[in-house]
Amino acid sequence: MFGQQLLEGLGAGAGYAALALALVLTYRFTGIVNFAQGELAMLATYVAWQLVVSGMPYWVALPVTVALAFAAGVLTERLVIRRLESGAGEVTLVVTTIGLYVLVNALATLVWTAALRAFPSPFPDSPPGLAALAAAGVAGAVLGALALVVRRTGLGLVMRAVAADARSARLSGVRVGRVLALGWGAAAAVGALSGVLLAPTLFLEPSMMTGVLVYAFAAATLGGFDSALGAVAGGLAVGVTETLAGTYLGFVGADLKIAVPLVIVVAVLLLRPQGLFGSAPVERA
Amino acid sequence: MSRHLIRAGVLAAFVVVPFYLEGFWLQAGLFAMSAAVGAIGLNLLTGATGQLSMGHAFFLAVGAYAYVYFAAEPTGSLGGLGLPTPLAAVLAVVLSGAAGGLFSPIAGRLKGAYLGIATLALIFLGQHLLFNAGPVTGGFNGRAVPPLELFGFVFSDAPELVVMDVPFGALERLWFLGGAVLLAAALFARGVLRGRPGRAMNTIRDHEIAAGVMGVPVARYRAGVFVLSSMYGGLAGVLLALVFQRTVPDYFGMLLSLDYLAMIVIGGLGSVGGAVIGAVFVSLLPQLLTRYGDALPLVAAPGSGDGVSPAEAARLLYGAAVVAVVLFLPGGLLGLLHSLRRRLPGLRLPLSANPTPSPETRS
Repeated sequence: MFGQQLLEGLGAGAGYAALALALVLTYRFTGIVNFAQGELAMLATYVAWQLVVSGMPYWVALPVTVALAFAAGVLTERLVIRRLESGAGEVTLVVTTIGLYVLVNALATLVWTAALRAFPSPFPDSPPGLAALAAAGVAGAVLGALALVVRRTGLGLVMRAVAADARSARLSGVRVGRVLALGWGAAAAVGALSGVLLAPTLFLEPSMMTGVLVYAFAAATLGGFDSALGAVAGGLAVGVTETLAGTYLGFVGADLKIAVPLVIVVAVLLLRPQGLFGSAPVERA
Repeated sequence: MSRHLIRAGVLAAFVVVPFYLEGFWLQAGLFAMSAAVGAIGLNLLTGATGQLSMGHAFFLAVGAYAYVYFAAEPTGSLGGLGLPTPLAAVLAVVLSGAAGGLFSPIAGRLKGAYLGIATLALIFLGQHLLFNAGPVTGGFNGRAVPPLELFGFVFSDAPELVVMDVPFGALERLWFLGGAVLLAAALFARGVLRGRPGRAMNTIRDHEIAAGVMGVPVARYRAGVFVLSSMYGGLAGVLLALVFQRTVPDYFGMLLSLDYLAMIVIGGLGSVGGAVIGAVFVSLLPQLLTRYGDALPLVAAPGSGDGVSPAEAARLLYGAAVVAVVLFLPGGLLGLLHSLRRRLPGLRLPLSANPTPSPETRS
């Protein structure tokens, strides 16, 4: 029983971790907390569903979806975010992503209606615990590949340079604009993965990612908003905590599960605002 | 001189409206007034101080439900205190402020988007309470709202009243109450923004460290503005409950909070006028689409099932409007009015002489 719950928590946590990683990527590259990240993931999940329903095999549809999501992320950065960069306050930037949230959500309702749809599981015949573990494995593999790119390649070096200090990077000849677009694209791709991983358990509907976004915020806050490793660790921790609390703490139950990440958020923000793995910002006036 | 004329004209138009417009538009106008009160409060917090709040709908819910609970007589399974209704309304606003005060240790210490994330908690807490605290909130079905009674004058349809051959029902009577409340709320907020507190708030938004160095108690200001903005939210909630005549829990969800953020961005961040213009835009859009949706392609009649419902079409439109406004009109609709006035000096628009600085005017 306990082992089963732990596995399910890890499976859900993998999905949260992926979305949290997407949030962290966006934040590190452009300094924006992207409230629309979950909705972009939801849109990608609908695309994946459409592809699978129209007869494409699951394992072909997945990379196609991730690629499309990447393109959508690049486009969003090019068409909207880049035009805001200079001089816009933080609130303006965040509210822009909230506008995108409303827009994408309404668009999905327009195209696919608000009906609940079943999403195919990649492992239909295996027991639920094992499927969760496999989902976590898929997420882990993709995140590992991403980490390799960032740590070991020339492209990764450039990306890290831009994230650390965009102005110095530009002075050293880095095409910062391209890297920022790449960052948004990578974030959208990772987010799409999160949507596809979580869809078999959550069912597909336009507001499926609203709750997940809260979990992902909790994960990113817990791990530190500027730490990719923290996002992944935070996501897994939030997934396991939420599942175990829902099962073993009587007063939490299925109804108050959403409170678990919110309590984590408030506690972390008050006690250790930079998160477990994040770095505290130092400001000079 | 001409400014006084314009003011008199606006006032006369406001007084004449309930004699000519039908109930549908009066109700829409009242929604817009209540939304304007709430949006002014959020603009003090988000626009002027730079603190993002996703929890505004929670404070509207507190105001609306507290008024109902304080004013209603206990019946059957539903509790109530049966207080005089004006006292209930005042207490509801105070209770919203107290709820904001409970959250203010958090609101004082967090800034910007982080506060936005933390205030998400309020929405989920609010929804849980509204659905589960049955004896107070009426649960899923909500509760009927007792009409306000001020010095023996009841804001409802019950004792018939005819003014100049026009029957004055609840909506016509509330129209004037709403106008008075909105005017008072706007004047108070303008006073806050133009005075010392407003300068301090803008400095916190623009440069937190500079504000601290100049002696502004940053955390105390953040907490204080949060409480003030939640009282505005509560007042908007009371007004909304009086217009709706029924409170329903579904309404006070996250989308309502997003509506309010959309209002202040579309209208113009950081000013009273911007909040009012944005509130009118966002709350009248769905009503316009409901009324004239038949003439538009794609938009279906409410409940017919095919095409888009007016509410969804309106959300699509104002989501797009938010993005379009931040891209092309950084000062919002109010900024557009100001620049029109600068380009056309002959045109006199009823606006304040010195606009409050928007975030975009800083370096």
